[in-house]
Amino acid sequence: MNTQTSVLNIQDLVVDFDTPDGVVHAVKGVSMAIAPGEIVAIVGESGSGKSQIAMSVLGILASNGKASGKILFNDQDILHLPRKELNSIRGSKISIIFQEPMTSLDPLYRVGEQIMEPLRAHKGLSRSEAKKRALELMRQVQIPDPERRFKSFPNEMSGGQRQRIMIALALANEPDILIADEPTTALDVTTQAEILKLLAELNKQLGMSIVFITHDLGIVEAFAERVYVMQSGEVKEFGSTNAIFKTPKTEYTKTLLDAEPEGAKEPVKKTQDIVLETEKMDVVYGHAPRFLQKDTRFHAVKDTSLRLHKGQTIGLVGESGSGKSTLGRALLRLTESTGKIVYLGNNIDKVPLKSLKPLREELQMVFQDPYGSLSPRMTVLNIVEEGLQTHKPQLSKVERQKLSLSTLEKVGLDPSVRNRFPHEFSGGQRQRIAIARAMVLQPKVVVLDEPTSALDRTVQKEVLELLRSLQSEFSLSYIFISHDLAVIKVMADYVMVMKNGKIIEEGVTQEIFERPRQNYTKSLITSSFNLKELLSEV
Amino acid sequence: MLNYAFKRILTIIPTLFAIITLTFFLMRIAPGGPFDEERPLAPAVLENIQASYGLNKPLIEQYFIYIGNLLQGDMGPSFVYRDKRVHEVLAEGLPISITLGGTALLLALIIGVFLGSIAALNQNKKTDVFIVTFATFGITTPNYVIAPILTLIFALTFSILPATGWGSPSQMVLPVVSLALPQIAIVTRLMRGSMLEALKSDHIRTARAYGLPITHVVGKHAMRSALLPVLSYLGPAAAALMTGSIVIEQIFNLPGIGRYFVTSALNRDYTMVMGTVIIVATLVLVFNLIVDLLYTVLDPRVRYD
Amino acid sequence: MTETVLTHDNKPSEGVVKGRSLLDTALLRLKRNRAAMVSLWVIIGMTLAAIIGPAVSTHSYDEVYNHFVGEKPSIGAYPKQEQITPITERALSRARVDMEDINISKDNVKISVVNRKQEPLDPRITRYLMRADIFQNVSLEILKADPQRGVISADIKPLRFLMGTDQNGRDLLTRILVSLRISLMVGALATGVALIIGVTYGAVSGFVGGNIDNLMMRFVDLLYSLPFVFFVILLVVFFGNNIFLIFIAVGCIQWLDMARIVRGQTLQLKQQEFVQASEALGVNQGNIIKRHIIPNLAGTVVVYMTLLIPRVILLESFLSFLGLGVQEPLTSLGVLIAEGARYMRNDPYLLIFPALTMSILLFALNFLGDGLRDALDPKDR
Repeated sequence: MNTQTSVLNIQDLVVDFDTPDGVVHAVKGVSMAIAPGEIVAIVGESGSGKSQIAMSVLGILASNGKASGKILFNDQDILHLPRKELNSIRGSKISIIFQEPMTSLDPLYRVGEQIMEPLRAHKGLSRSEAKKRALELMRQVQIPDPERRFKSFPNEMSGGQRQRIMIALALANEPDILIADEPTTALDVTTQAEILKLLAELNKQLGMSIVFITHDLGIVEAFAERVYVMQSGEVKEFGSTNAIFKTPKTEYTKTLLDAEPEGAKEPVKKTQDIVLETEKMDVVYGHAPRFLQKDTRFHAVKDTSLRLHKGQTIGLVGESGSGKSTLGRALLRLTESTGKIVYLGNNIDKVPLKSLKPLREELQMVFQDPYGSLSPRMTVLNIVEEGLQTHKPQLSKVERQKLSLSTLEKVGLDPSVRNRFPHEFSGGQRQRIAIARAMVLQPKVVVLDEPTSALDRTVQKEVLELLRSLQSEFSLSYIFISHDLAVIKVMADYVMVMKNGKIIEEGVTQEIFERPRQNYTKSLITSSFNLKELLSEV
Repeated sequence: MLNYAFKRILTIIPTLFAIITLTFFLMRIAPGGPFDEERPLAPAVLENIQASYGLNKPLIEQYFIYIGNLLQGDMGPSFVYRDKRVHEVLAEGLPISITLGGTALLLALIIGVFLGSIAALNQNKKTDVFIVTFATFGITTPNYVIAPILTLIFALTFSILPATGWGSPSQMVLPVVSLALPQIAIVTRLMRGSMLEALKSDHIRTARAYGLPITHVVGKHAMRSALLPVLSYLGPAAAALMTGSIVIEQIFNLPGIGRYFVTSALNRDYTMVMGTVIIVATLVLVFNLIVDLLYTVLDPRVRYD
Repeated sequence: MTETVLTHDNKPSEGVVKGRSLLDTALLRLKRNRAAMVSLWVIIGMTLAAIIGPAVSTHSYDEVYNHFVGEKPSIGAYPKQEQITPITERALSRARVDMEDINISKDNVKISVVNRKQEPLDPRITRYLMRADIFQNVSLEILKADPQRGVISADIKPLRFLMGTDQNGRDLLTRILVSLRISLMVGALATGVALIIGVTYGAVSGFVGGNIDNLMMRFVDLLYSLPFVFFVILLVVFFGNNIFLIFIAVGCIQWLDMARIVRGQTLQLKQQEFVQASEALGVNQGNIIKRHIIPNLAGTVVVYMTLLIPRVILLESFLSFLGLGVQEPLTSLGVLIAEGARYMRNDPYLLIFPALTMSILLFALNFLGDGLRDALDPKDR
């Protein structure tokens, strides 16, 4: 691409990190060019080096990182600029928004104050001028009641609002380029749609270029004009969004595009046995008002009833804070609740916690975070056999190991890794270990709490396949908790939509996705599947 | 905020009460008494003296009498400084201890924060190594080593400063510096650690990405986050420093209250022990309260109610 | 799913792969930290010196050399040439004999003596010379012609005081070695006491949680606001002046921080998904603590321990400085420093050597602690 027509031109960028365990090559000679006013996506899975490009452009690499090559901004190489000169460009001509709006804003200062800072630093505005402009910006990013919000601290705002504040900050000096580093990954789908819409509008109004870094191909397709596909520090393929999506040239792009979850699950017959059932379940956290203490009660789950048949997968869907995880935990009596819980015809809600042990063998749980759910100081084998030690003490050590190793094989892990520790595995492999830990006991019901949300799409697909095959092999019943409708759609045969602790809609999967009755469900579905239409309205 | 402050003040009272009670009875269970002397007193004389101090009454009654007097601001007669009340003795020494400790604390805060920040900003460079070494030296060298060495150099060898006494500013230099040095070292290390942590945080990355001047990034954003852990250290440290340093007062022969800690307990000067305990406990509780309140001001995430 | 997922290095599976635990990684990192490794060797060296030193030393820590009070440090041997005559005269005058002539060679003296009384010399007078610390192999040859006179021949026993002697004429080096032993013992034992109480208390408080946690932590807060010197004095008063008491007293004071740290960690661990996963598996609480909480606490505890040891040593020396610690003739670094401070005007080495020993020891412990923390918690680098 001709440098004259591009506002940002990256040439042969190399980024290396000096770590205690050797040099890591994060970016290996990447070149890209961004034209004025265009929206370009950089897409890739975790560790592909896509964020490090943004960090290099703004000169904010971690202290052990080193970038070389050229980064031309309007034909000026900004990679090796001294800090003072770079400061006149970043935050003014080029700005950035990050993934975590919570930690990216200073928690100790009011948000209004923080929006004013780049205004005052770059334009030398007085306090009152800066405040006027800040309020204007807050209005522009559609913050309701900006005068009041001006004085708020970041922790007093919702994730979506914080991201709007970040955007206001980024727009403060009307930059030529806005880099957005996974700006919607930490947000709920409906909020994500709103933020994307806002960015699209701002792009139209202000004519700045947007570099959108993401792992989500759905967003790329709806939002970007051009795409760079990255894998392990290299650009694999680039071109217009249409071309890349219609006729991908490289294998890697094809795998990425194929990684969208697919398939569907047939509804189970009504005549199948009911394995787990609950009626009028409530979960309340906190305590009633006491002497000198406020009411801290929080109704996490309200009046919920659910019926899980043998071989069924109930998809529990909702945004963060809707109470879906709490419900999952309460079903297994890992959280205190009121209301009836029936397992295989036996009431288990009154059974004292100590006598629940035999049930624990048959009711299992898989957690979201494959990094946090495995004890960092235990070997894979120890992790998997822990359940056997607890429930089948009659087994000899050899039998126990044999069973554990065969389970590891079943979830697709080579048994030779038995003596390794969790930190030596990738995210997908860790989740396989977590699944093996649950499966080794041959449970009947498994609560899957966002089991693939922390994984890359390609890995997610494999893990979903694994869960499916395990279900059909052992006729397992799943409670599948997820915020990701695309996953729920292919995994569950029955869907329950949760909002503010309540089930607001439920039904057979196909029904719900084709004919949602509630507005909330409708907006969830549109935000997840029809982003393109939503953004084309802009 | 006011509500919280009020609540905290309310919790101080029972805590203080518990400490007073605990100390009172613990001390009385201990063998020995204030009138054990090399040559035992005649039983009749002893009984007489004990009666005059009310020690012949049942312990529980003594306890209530003591609490009653305390509520009226009377800490009772000292058993050793016989013509004085305990609160009078302590009131004489306390201003000296507070001046000494307060100055040392202020010095530690200013120098420590400065050195710690400089070290963090130059992590692993020569300046950093130098400051860290100095700080480690300060931590590993107790003030009863520093104090004599400083005296040896500045008072005995070069005769620039007086070695003992209290009153003139020049007499303050050596004790304050000896008391402050280990504190400077501790604050420096704390500050370096928290500043490093702060500099790595996401919001500092944001501030840098927006081209804010470096003085602003460090002086405003990083500094405030980094000061919070230092603040929580300063609460108890302030109380410890202001109640007098036994060692420093002994070496420089200062009339503070630090010396009463050891002598009163060794002499079983019951009322004096109680007096020192009450002063320390009150200061600790009050300083912790101040720190917690400052926290709510400095950190909007902390909401106590 | 038939494909087999290999680990990231994609080696073909040949037998069982050996994993590298977090501990292995941490040790590797520690080995690369030069300051920490030097410190480790210094500590090992000092520990060995403290254990073996006093036994190997030619002096005993409480051996008083009346003739060598406040001698300056020196590599050369005592007695110095000019000291021999006065010492000999004094010894002989106690034996009631007079010295007529003295002939000092390199390692031997020949003394011509005469009895003050008009009597033959008593062969037992050699004992007086033996007692003078500086002679050995003393023999008396009484002149046959005049039994009132004789020639004493004695070998000079060379005495070395590398760090000089104190005001009582005791070898400073030996005393420093002994006090190093005391300091390390206090460090290890008191830290052990603090560790046991603190870890148990903190882990229970954090794991049980709720109101019990609240109550237990209130109690810790309460103890925090008590002046500790008072407690130590009470303990000393109760049980008399005993060195083990100091260990316990110091340990009892220092457990508070440990309890707080461990409680915080435990609370954090309890929230971790792997602990919740174990609960979901039906593992009982005892096993959860054993398998999940304690191993994950270990790192923090070890790091805190290495930082606690120097603090404990400082505390003990502080108590000794005030005269509340170990008692004469036994000694500790605090006692030596206190003595040194008293005589520093004329004999600064009495202060410098103990202070230096203490500083080096604490320096090494601190650097090792920092190194361990960095090694176990790489994000803190």
